[in-house]
Amino acid sequence: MELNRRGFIYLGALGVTSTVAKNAFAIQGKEIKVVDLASISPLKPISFNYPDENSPTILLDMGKPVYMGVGPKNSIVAYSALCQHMGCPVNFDSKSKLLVCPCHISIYDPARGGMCVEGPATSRLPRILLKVKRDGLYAVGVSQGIIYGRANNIGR
Amino acid sequence: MDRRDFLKSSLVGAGILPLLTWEEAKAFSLDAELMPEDIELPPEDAQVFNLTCQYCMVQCGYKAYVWEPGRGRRIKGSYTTALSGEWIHPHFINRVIKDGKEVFVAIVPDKNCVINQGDHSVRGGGNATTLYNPRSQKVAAKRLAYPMVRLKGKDYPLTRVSWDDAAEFIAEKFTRIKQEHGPDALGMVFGDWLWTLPTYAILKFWFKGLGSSSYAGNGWFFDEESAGISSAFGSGTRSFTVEDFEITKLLVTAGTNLQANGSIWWHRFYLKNLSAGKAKHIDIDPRRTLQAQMAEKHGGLHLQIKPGTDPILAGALIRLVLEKDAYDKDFVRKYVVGFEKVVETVKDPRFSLDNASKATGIPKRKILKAVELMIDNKGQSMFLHEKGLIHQMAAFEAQHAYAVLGIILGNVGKPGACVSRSGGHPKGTFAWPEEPPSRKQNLNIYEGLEKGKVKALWAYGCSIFKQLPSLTKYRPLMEKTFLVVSDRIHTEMDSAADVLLPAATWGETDLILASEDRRVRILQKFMDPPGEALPDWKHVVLVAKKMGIEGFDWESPRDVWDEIRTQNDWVKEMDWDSLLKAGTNGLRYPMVNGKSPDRLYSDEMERLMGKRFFTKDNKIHVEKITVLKDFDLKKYEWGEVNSRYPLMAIDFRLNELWNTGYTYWDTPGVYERTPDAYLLINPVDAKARGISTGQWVVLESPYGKCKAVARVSDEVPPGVVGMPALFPKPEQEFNYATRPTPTTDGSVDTMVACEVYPV
Repeated sequence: MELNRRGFIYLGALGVTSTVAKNAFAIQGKEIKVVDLASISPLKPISFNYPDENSPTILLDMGKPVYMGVGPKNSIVAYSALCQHMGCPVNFDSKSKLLVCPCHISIYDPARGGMCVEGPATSRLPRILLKVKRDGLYAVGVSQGIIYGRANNIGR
Repeated sequence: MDRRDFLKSSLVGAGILPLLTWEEAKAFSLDAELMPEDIELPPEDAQVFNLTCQYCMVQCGYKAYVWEPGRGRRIKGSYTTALSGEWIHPHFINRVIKDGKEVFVAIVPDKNCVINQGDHSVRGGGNATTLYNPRSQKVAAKRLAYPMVRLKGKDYPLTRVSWDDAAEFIAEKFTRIKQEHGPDALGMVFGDWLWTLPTYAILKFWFKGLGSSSYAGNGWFFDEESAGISSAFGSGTRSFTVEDFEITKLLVTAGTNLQANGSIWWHRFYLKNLSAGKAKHIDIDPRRTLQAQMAEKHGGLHLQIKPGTDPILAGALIRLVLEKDAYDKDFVRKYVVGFEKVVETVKDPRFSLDNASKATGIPKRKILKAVELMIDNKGQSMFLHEKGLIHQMAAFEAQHAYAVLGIILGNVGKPGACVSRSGGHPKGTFAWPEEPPSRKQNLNIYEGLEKGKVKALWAYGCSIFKQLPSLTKYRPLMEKTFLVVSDRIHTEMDSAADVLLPAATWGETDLILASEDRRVRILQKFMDPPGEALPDWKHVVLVAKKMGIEGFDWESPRDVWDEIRTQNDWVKEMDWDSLLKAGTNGLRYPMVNGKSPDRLYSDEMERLMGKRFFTKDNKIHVEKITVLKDFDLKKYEWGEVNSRYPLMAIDFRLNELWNTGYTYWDTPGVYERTPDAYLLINPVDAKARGISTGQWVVLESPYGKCKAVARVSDEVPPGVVGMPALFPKPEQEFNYATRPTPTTDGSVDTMVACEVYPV
């Protein structure tokens, strides 16, 4: 990610001095293998838990390059599956290609960083950081917010 | 894909909701990614304060928890489950100054409040992000903190002065203007949802103190937008209770998008009732909103009505009910006066099914299905309406006709049944001092401005360069007056203001507000206001004293409230201490001997109050339905549609945007949805004009222009364009193009003939 001026100033204010890498605001967690790359197909969501068993997440290959996407087409993303409003698990609607919370209809766009496009949630879905390795796809951390139900993502 | 590539490719196709336009994509911001990674939670011994939300009429309960940084709880892993109402979102927490020291505050939806039960909307979820915090450059820089005055006139800069000097300056000008031109030369526009205490202070000062009758509310000229309801029930007060959303069998919404503008009500209806298959929803709206889509998905209807034709649709629905002899005969016989006028009025051919379908653009089968649902659920339906009806020229006709439809089906004062406005802002007026006699001839402040009679304006908690209509013509006239502004933030009004008075707001002073289901709550002070900001009612006290006007000796919020409640039997029993004790559930009005009815116009109300309705004869009056006989679309906005202005523009309220957006830019995950106003235009109209999604367009009416980003969508039918109301960017304000004429119920009109073209 290229940092723009505003991002740079914000970092300065927070006193972050470490090298700003691709996932500037991420907490790096333990590496967990999610799946073999070969078993991912476009618009077929894969569920897994990260960083622990109480945190369902959803992995999606959007079939085209998307914001922060990984994999051969930069098309694979993963998000916390718990709605940022009140924690109901979101569902992938393959027709609209959006993640929809069935409780109060907060709607998130996985192709646009998980931003909330409608409904009561005030923030994006936290993003699960992914790393492609030779033997498959790994979840390695969480960025962009705190997973529903917690005060931090990885624990202190 | 990095941010840059993402932005390049962000013009993607449409799903169930329109996706980002190019302009929107540019605002897709890093801010929204800069969330804290680790937060401390309120400790067990945090100080706790009662609050209600600072925004809409639903008035959800909140708690403020205050603690010293570092003393909060640290928790590892998940500490709560879905729908518990216990999760502290990072946006609920901020640092503020309290008693001169920096503290943490968490603003948390109250799970013990009967209204929201721990739920929040997208607006309320950002309450804490709006708090004044000297560390936050963005929020701090926009707040007014010190009185400022343009001592030598409009061409000179605003300079900081003391409160005493500011009050002296205003008093001297007001006194001189009053002496030279009479009291009505002093004009005032107020935000009438403004926390009850300030509203009373300014009205008393204006009517009694100055003797002026020149005033308007935010969005209305006279009669407060409820005439079509109050003519029936003797009051425009909302009559339902929040639980009704969970037990009603049919929700009928006309010109009110509860999903976006009364979210908690809709959440309760959707989750517990509609999606559970227990109720149906008929949504009458020119736009195919998410609410409309959900209504259809769950077996109800979206009646996509041609804007402004509501009186025809309501008349036709009444006629069909009568033709099927399906009205509630017992109810009508017992309680309704003027029913024969209803029968006679809807006989007119314009209310035939054929004609109604043609006039409204709604297929006949949908009108018939709607009538069937209404009859099947008579006595168990909620009929709600709001600005979509009220802000069209035939506001009275539309509001009254839908009311009559609900009434003859017996949807009054029963569990899950009502005929009511839904409302926009909380109730903030409990006492209305007697107006000067000149008011009778002085209903429209714009006439006074145009004739040069209004020489001064006090914009009191109201952004007059946004909230009043037809600004292209009237803003320059307002700019020429001696302009006093009481506000919490810097606004466009700074450029013309002679005086800026900083207001202490939500959380910074004790306030009182009531929900639209009639719960009065104290909102407690939990932090220091910025600089020398004072509650708005104190602005009035300072000026009144300088002018030597008596009756403004209040020293505390409690003093103001005590004076208000002596003037309103509905709240006279609610002293300050009992309100404090009642916490976030508050006390309900009308209160008699410590008891209040859950619903107005009910058996319970009759038992408690000795009357069922607020009319003199204790009956519902429907005689005014005869105004429908004179209803003619061409008399109103559609009369201005011609080859030069072939489209009809309507406005709507965004879920994420409250009022004029004075806190809009405080919550990144919220404003990134809509960083610029957009204009909804049907693909047919867009193609004819060479307009595509993402392009900047101008909306031009006979009254002025504004700008927006085009969003080509069949959310609106051909011939109709829609744009958000009060978008917080100057050139994107729809009110520069709206009509100046008050509607038939005294409101502003936000429907206007127009043309749209690319910039």
